[in-house]
Amino acid sequence: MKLRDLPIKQKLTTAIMLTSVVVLGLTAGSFTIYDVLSFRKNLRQTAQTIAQITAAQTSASVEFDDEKTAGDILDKLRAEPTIVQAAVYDKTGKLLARHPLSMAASAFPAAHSPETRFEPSGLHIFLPIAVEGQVYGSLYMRWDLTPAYDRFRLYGVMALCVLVGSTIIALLLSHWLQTRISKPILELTETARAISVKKDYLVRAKKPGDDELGELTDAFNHMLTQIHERDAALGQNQAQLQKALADSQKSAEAVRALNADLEHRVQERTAELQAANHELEAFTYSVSHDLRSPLRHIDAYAQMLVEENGAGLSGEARRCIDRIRLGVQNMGRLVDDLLNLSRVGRAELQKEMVALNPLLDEAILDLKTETRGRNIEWRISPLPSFCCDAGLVKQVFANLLSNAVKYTGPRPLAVIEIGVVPAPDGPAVFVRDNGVGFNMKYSNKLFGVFQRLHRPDEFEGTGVGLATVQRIVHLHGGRIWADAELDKGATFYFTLGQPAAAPEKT
Amino acid sequence: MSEPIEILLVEDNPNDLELTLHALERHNLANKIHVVRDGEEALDFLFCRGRFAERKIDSPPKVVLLDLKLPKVDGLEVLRALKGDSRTRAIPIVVMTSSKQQRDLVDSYQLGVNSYIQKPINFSEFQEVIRHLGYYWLAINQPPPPAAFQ
Repeated sequence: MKLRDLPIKQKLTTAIMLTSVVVLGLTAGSFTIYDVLSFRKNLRQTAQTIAQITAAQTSASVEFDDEKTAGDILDKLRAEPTIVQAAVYDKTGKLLARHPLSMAASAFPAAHSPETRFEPSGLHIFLPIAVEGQVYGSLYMRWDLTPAYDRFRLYGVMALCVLVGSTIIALLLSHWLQTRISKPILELTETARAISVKKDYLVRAKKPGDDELGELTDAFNHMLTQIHERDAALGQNQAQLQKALADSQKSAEAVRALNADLEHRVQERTAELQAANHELEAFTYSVSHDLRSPLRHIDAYAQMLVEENGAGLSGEARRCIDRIRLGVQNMGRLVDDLLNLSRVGRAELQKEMVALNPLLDEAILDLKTETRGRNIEWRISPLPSFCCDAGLVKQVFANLLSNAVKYTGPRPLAVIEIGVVPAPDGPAVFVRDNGVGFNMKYSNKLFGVFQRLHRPDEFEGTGVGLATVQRIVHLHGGRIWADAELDKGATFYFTLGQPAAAPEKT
Repeated sequence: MSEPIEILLVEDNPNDLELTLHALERHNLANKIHVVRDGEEALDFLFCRGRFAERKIDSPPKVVLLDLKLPKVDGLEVLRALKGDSRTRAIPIVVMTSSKQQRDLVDSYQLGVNSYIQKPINFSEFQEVIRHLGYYWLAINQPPPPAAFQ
C-alpha cells in the first residue's frame, strides 16, 4: 500500500514516529561518536603521559639492568586498575620487569618500536626509554578499554530507553493529534458517506474549530445547504412536471373523448343528412313526375274543350280557358325551376379548368328563342378561365343573360355587356344591360326564392332564377351582387375565386 | 288482330291514356295500337306469355311507348328485362314520362333505351311530339328484321 493511500490516522502516526526516531537516532549517534572520539583522545593523552612518566622513572634501572627497581616502579601502576599490562625491556629486547607479576612473561608482547594503537584487547603503547637521547630500552603498556565499552553500552541502553519512551510519547501525541486533526476529517468523511447513502441533506457536520478544518466544514455545510435547496427545488420541479404530465394526460384524455364524441356526432349528423338528402331526392323525384302530370292534364283538357266546342264557346269562356292554360304554363315553369334549384343545391361540383368565353357563347346561342326578333348589341370582353363546374356556371350565364334580354325588352336597341372588373376576392365577371333596372332599395330581395321586383304582367318570371344563380356562385365560394338604377339598367357581378389563367384574347 | 300491332302503349294513368290516344287518333295511328296498363302486362305481351301466349315473339311492335311510373313492375324494370334478353333486345323502346330527372335519364340510357321523351305540359306541343314520334318510328325508321329477335 502506498503512503498516499494510507488512512490519515496512520499517516500522522507514521510521520510522528519517523520524525522522533530519526531525531533521536541522529542525536544519540552523534553524541556517542563524539563521546567515543573524545574518550579515545583523552585516554591516549593520559596513557602516553603516564607511559612517559613511567619510562622516565624506569630509565635508570634499565640503564643499569636493575630489574628489581624496574619491577617496583611498575608495581606502583597497580593504583591505576585500567593498566592491565606493563613491561620494561632492555635495549636487546629482553624483558626486565613486568606488571602484574601474576601474568606469565609469555603473555607479554615482544619489544617493539614506538607506537600507540587501539585494539579490541585495549590501548597498546610502546615507548623508548631514553636518557638524553641515548636509548636504553623500551616500555610497553596496555590499557583496558572494558569500562569504556561498558559505558558505551550503557549509552546504547539509555538511548534505546529514550527511543521507546519517545515512541510511546509520539503515539500518545499522534492519538491526541488525531482527535484534533484526523477525527474532524473522519467525521466529515463519515457525514459525507452517510449523506451519499441516505440522501439526507439536512444532516450537518460538526465544526471542530476555526482552523482550516473549520473552514472546510463550513464550506461543506454550505454546500449541503445549497444541495438541499436545489434538491428541494428539483423535487418541486419534478412534482410540477408530474402534475403537468398528469394534466396533459387528462386533457389528452378529454380531447380523445371529445373527438370520439365529435366523430359520433358527425356520424349521426351525416346519417341524418344522408337520410334528409335521400328524402329530398325522393320528394323531388316524386314532384317531377307527379306534379307535372296533372298540369299536363289540365292543359290538355282545356285545349280539347276549345278544339271540340270552339264555335259554342263565348269570348269570355275562351279568355278563361286561356288564363287557365297560362297558369298551367307558369306552374310548369315554376316546378322546373324549383327542381333545378333543388338539384343545384345538392349538386356535387364537377370542377375543371373552364374558359368562360366559350361557355358564354353557348349560353347566348341557347337564348335564340328569346332573342329572336330582338335588336340586341352584345359587347363581350375576354374573360378569365376558372376552375369551376362548367354546367353550373353556364346556368349562371343563362340566367343572367336571360334576365338581361327580358328586362331590355322595352328598349329599341338592347345593349348587353359582359366583362370583368377587379374585386378583392378575384376578378368579378359582370353582365350589364340598359334595361328597366330596379330601385336599389329592393336589392336585398333580389336573390331570395320567389322574390320578384316586377309584376308578372310586366315581366314574366318565377323568382327562382337568381336564387339558383346565387346558390351556384356560393357553391364555388364566390359572391354575387348587383348595381342598378331604375330605368337606366342593371349590372350583376359575380366572383368565382382566383382565376386559373389570364384572360384569353378573342 | 287482323293488322299487326305497330305501337305498344304502356300507360297506367287513364287521363294520360286518353290524351295519348286522342293525339294518336288525330294522326291516324290509333288503329295499330295495343294498350297495356302496367309493367307486368307489358312484359307478358312482349315475351308472349300468359294471355298473350299465342303471340309470336319475333313479330313485336315497331315501337314501345313506355311510361316510367307504373304499378307492379315499373318502367325501368320493364326496360331492364327487355334489354337484358336477346329475344327482345332489338325492340325499339321510347320512354315517355313527365320527368326529366337526371337519374331517370341516366338509368334509361344505361339500360339501352332508344329514345327518351319528356311529355310537354302544353297539349299542343304534346300532340306535335306524338305526331313526330309516330311518323319517325312507323314511317322513317327501318324496324329490326325477325332475325334480330332470337
